[in-house]
Amino acid sequence: MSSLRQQFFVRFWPPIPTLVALGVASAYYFALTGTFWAVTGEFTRWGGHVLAWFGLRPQEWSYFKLLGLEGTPLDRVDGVMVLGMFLGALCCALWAGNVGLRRPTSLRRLMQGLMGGIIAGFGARLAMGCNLAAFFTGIPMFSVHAWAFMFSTVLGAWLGVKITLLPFLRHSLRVQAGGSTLPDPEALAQRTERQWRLGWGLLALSLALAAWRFEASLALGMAFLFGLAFGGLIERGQICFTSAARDLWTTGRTKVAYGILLGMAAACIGTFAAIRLGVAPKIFWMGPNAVVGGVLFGLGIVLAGGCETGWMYRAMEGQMHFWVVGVGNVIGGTLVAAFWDELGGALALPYPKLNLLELFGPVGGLLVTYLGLALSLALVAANARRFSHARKTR
Amino acid sequence: MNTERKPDLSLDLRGEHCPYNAIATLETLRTMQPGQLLEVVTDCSQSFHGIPEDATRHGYHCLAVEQHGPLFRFLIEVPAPDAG
Repeated sequence: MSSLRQQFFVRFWPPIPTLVALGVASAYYFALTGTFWAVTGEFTRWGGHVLAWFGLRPQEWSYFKLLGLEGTPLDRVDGVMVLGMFLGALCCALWAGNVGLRRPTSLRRLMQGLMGGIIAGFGARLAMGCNLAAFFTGIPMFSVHAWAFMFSTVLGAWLGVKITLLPFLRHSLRVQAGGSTLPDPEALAQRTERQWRLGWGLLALSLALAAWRFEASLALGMAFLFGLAFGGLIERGQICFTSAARDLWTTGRTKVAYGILLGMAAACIGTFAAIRLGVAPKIFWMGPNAVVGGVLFGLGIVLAGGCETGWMYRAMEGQMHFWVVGVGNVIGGTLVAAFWDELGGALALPYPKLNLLELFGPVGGLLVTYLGLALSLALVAANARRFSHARKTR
Repeated sequence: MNTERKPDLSLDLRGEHCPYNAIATLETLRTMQPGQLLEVVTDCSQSFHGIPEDATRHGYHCLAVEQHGPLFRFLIEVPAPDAG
């Protein structure tokens, strides 16, 4: 039992199978709820609610008419799913004994996180999605804008790396001779045990919440359960989309990038089936907004150190830096809502919503998508060769 | 656990996030001599997958990855010149 606990609840899961599981789950989520797995739209609605407390009338803004701002987060599919993600991630972090307040190293780093969060939130909402809706669950919608967003994000990440590694954002290295002292094993074991029990308590509470939402509707209950699973999976696998884009430029990592591409390949056939059975795909404008948004998003997530899903589970683990990144995301998304008439009118609305399944027919669209994913896999592999055994060539 | 070699250097990355953790680890390794052992301590969970992958890709040996609650510890060896 204790080895089982160590293996499944403490040790992190390998990212590639975890991402494939996320891809499959996201396709079921789409078939069950009629919407895709997405988070930034909901963050932007939170910004709208806050503005409403201050007497503004955001429900009359065109962007919120597009997004919908009725009710509270608990009455919305996206809202309960996001709440589920936070709770699922927190449960998993508790089971692993991985919850602890991590203080940021400096105020400058914290400001960097806030700025990065704002830029990423702004870019994501400009492109009508984030690493999910305009990328991981956008490509399986067969929306061309998600392809533009994905490649622009990788480009933006390059810019982000250039800025992030500037000397004024680096700290001096804390290096000492010999080993460091680790926490007392006995105190650590007690603390881990406490968190383990707290995790199960929180799961019981979450399931009660799920039952309450099933009373309201099947879609809300399912969305909450899927949220728990999504949040749990990203925490267990430490799924970092930022790393996938950024580390193509820094160290040549490949695992997460492969996992994301394979996860999308697994999702595509499921979403394709649902679309054939009549679920309407979510297709957005293929305008400059997807490219500009992607570049800003890529830059922002690298600067912040985490993307829209990344900050969610890190915040639950107690990484304080990512509480600030989350606030930044909400501010960035809300800024797009405030200036949507100008931004959308110029960059998005005049452009067509391109659907690969209509452009190339159902079979052709599916084929083009899989060819694109295969090509992307090959590009990631080719890129990694630049870094292999770099030490020897020095 | 008690029989393991004592590291030559220890890099403390607590409170820092990616990509600084990965970059700092590789930078420190570059200053070390063949055969030396580096200990890296971080509280950023993402490093769990990233640091071993980076170390291996850049030609170092990641000998141990440990979880101590919210702390993570890595032992990375600079290989001797004739080793693969």
